[in-house]
Amino acid sequence: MDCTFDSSDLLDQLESASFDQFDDVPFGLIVMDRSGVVTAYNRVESAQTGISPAKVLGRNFFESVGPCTNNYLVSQRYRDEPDLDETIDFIFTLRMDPTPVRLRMMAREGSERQYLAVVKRP
Amino acid sequence: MTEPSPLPDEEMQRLLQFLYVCPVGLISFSDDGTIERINPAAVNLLVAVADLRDHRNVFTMVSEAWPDLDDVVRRGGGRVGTLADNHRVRSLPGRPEQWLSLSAVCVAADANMLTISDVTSAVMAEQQLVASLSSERLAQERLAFLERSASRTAARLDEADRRHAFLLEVSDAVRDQRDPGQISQTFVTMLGWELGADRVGYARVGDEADHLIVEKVYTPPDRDPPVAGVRVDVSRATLDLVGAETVLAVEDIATDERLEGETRAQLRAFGGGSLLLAPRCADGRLARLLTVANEAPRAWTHHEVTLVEEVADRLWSTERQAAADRDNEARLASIIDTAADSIIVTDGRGVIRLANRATSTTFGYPVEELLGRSVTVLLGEELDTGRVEGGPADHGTTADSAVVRVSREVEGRRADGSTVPLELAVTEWLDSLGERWITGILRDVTLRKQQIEILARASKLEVAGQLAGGVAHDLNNLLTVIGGNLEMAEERVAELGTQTLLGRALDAVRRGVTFNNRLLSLVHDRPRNVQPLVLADRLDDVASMAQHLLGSEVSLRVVVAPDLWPVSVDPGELDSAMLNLARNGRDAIVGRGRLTIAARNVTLEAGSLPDPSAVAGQYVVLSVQDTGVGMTPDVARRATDPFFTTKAAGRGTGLGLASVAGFVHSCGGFLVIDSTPSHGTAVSLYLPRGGESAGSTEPPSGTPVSGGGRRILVVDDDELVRQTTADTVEVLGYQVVTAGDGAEAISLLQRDAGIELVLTDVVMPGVDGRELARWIETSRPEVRVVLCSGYTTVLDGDGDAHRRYLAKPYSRRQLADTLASLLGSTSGSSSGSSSPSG
Repeated sequence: MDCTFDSSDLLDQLESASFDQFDDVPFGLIVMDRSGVVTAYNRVESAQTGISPAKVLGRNFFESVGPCTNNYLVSQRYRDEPDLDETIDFIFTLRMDPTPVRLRMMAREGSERQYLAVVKRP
Repeated sequence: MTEPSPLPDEEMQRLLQFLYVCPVGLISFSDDGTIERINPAAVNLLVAVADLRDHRNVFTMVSEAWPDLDDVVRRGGGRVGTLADNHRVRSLPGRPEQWLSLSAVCVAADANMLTISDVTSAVMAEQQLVASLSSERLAQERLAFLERSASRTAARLDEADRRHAFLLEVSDAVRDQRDPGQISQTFVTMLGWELGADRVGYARVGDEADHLIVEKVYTPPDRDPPVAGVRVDVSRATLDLVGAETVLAVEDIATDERLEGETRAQLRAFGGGSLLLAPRCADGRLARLLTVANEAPRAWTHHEVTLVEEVADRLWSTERQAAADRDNEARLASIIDTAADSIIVTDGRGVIRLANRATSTTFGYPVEELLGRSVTVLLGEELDTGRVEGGPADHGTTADSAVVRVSREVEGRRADGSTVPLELAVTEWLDSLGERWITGILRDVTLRKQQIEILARASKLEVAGQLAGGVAHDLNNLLTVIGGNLEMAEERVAELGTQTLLGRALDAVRRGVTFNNRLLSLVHDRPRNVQPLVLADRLDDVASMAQHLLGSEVSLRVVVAPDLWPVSVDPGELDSAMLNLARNGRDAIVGRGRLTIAARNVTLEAGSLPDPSAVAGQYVVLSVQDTGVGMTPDVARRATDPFFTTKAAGRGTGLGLASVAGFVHSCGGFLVIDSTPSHGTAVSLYLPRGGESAGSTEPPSGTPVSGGGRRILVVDDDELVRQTTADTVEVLGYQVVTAGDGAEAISLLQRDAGIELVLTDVVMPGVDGRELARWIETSRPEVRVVLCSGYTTVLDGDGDAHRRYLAKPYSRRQLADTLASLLGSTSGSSSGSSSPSG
C-alpha cells in the first residue's frame, strides 16, 4: 500500500483497503471496531512493540492492549467524535519504558472501523 | 530492615504485571528527574495536569502541577522515605475536571518514585460537605436570629431600642472576622434577615463612576443563590439622584415621579420594584451603595429607613477600619520582610506565629514551613526572656507591656543540619487580651566572629613579632661582639690548631646570624639577599643537608626536572624553607617512609589556579612530599598559621610552615598543601619564574685592609659592642675615638675637627643615632655617617654619598668595605661591593 503516516488522504486509503493490505503499511497501524476491539495489528506495529497479533486480536485496545491511551486525549476522542482525524504527540508505556510516539487517530462516520497509526518520535 | 531476598522469575513477572495494571500512577526517576519507568495509569492521570510531550524528565513533565518537585527531591537529600505526601492538584483549564494527589518517595539512593492517584470523587465529596455544612450553619443562625428578633418585637421594645439591639448583634457577629469582605457579607445577610427583604446588595462604585459592582448579595433561602460581582451600569443622573440623599426610599419604581428615563430601568437591576438605597462617600465622591430591594411595591417605614441608614454608617466605618488594619499589617509585614535580621514572633508556648523572609534565608526553611512549629526547631531552646539577667519578666511591675532583654549569643540550627552563630535580642509583650507574645530578633554573626578571629590572630602575631624583634636585636649585639673578637683573635693567633678552633667558632656565629635573620624575616621586611638562582645546584645542597635530618628510617628521593627556569630568591631563605619542610615530613612519618623532593616548571592559566591567591604565569614548583600520617582538612587549613602546631610540646614552634609561607609570599609566589590523612602530605612552593641566573655572587675573600690613619668616631651605648667595634676599626688601620651616647658624640665632634666619619648605633637612650646624624648634617656636613642596627627595619633606604646603613651583625669585610667606600681610602679590597649587603 502506497501511503505515509502524514498522507492527507490516509483515512480514505485505509477505508478502501482490505485487511490483508494493512501489513504493507510502512508504519504501526492498529485497526479496531467502533467499540475498540482490535481487528488488525499490522506487521510494523507488531515489530515495534514485540507483541504478536495473536495476543492482541479480539481484545479491547484502550482497556487491555494500550491502557495508557484510555484517557480524554485518545480513547475519549474516538468515543466523542464519529469523524476523527487528529495527530498528537504522546507517550507509550510499553514494558513501562517511556516511549515517545506520534499518534494519528482516525475514524469516519458510518464506517465499521477506526484506526490508530503510530510512529516513534525522536 | 533487611533486603528482601530476590523473587523467583515467575513472581517477578506477576509483580511487574501488577505494577502495569495498577490504577495508581507510578513513575520511577533519578535525582535529576530522568524518568526510568512509567506505568499506563501514570500517563492516563497526568494527561489532566501535565505536558506529555516531554517523556525524559519528570520535573519538566509535571512543572505546572508541581513546580518545586525538584526542590522537594533535593531537600530530601537521598534519605529513604516519603519526601512529600498528598500534593493535590486540579486539572488544568480546558481539561476535564479532575483532582489528583501526587506523592514523592525516595526508594533508594538516586531512585525516587512519583505516585499519582485520582482523588476527584473525594475532593468533590469534601466540597459538597463543606458547602452543605456552611449552608446548614447559616440556616441555623438565621433561625436563631429570627427568634431573637421576634422576642425583641414581643417585648414591645421601642423602635430605637430594636435598632440598637440589631446593631449590637451584628457587631458581635463580626467581632472575630478580619476579612473586610466577610464583614460586609455578614452585615448584608443580617440586614436581609431583619427586614425580610427579597434582596440586599452592597456595591462598590467603579473607577470611571459609570458603573457599580455588586460585591455582596443576600437573597432569602428559598430563592436562587445570589451571584456576587455583577456589574450594573449607571448614568451620571442616576448617581446624582442616589448620592443626594442619606437614604433614598422608592416605594414603587414604576410610579415614582423623581425617576426619569433610564434611571428607572437602571435601578431595577438592584433586584426589585421597591428600593432603599443608602450611599456612602469617600473624598467627596460616591464610594459605596447599600441596596435593599422588595419585588412588590413596599411602603418603607421610618424605622426601616433609619435602620438602613444606621447599618450603612456602621458597615462603612467597620469596613474602612478593617481595611486600614490590613494595610497597616501589610506595611508592617513589608518592613519586617525587608529587615536583614531574622525576626520571629512566638506565642507564650514557643510556637512560631510569624517569621520574616530573613528567617527563611538564615535557617533555610520556607516561611510557611516554620509557622506553627516550635521555635526550638531553630534554636534548640525557647525565646525565653527569663534566661538573661534580671530574672523572669514580671509584667505586673512594669508600666510597659513590653520587656526587653538584649543580646546573648545562641546557636541556630539550619535545615541542612549546619549551625550558625546568632546574636539574640528578645522582647516580650502582652496583647490587649493579656496573651503573652515573644519577639526574637536574630542577627547572623558568622562574619563578625570570623573578623574577630582574624584580628586576634593578627595581634598575636604582632606581639610575637615584637618579642622576636627584641630577642633578635639583643642576639645580634652579642653576635657582633663575639664575631668581632673572634675575627681579631684569628688574625693575631698564628698557631694552626687554635685558628681551626676559632674558625669553627666563627662558623657558629654565622649560623647564629642566619638563624636570627630567619626569625626576623617572620616579623620584619628584612633586607633580603635576593638573587637569580640556579635551582638544580641549590637542591643538591639542600638534599645533602636533608639527608642528615632524615635518619636511616626515611629514604630520600630527589626528582629535578631538566631545564628548570631560574627563580629570584634569597638562597639562605630557600635552604631554610626546604629544610623546614623536610623536617616536617620526617616528623610526620611514623617508622619507615619516604621523602621526595621534586622540582618542575609549570605554566598556570587563569581559571585553573590551584590557590585563590595565585595569579596566572610561569612558576617553578618545589615540592616536598612525605608518606606520613597526613593532615585532616581542618589541620591543613591552619597549618600555615603562626604558632599552630600538632607536634608535641617542645618539638615544634609552630613557626616552621608559617615562615615558609612568608618566604614564598615575599617572592610573589604561593604555597599549596595537599594532604590526605594516613596517606601523607605534599607541600608545594610555587616560585615565580625570575631573571636569568648571574652565577655566584659570593663576596671576594677578605684580606687585611688599611684605613690610612683617618679618624673615626664609634658611638654605641653598649660598652662591649662599642669596644669590639672600636678594636675592629682600629685593626682596619683607622684612628678611633669612642662615645657612649649621642650627646657625648656631639660634644666630641664640636671639639675634634679631625673626625671624618661617625659609626653609630641607631637605637640609644637620649640623643639616638638618627638625631646624631641630623645634627651632623647641619653642623658638620663634611663628616660621613654609618648607621648600624640590629633592628633591620630602622635601616630604611640605601643611603647616599655621605651616609650608609649597616645591619648588625656585620662582618669585618662588610665594615671595611663600607668605611672604604665612604672615605674613599685606598683599601686592600680591590673589587669589594661598596654597599651593605645585609
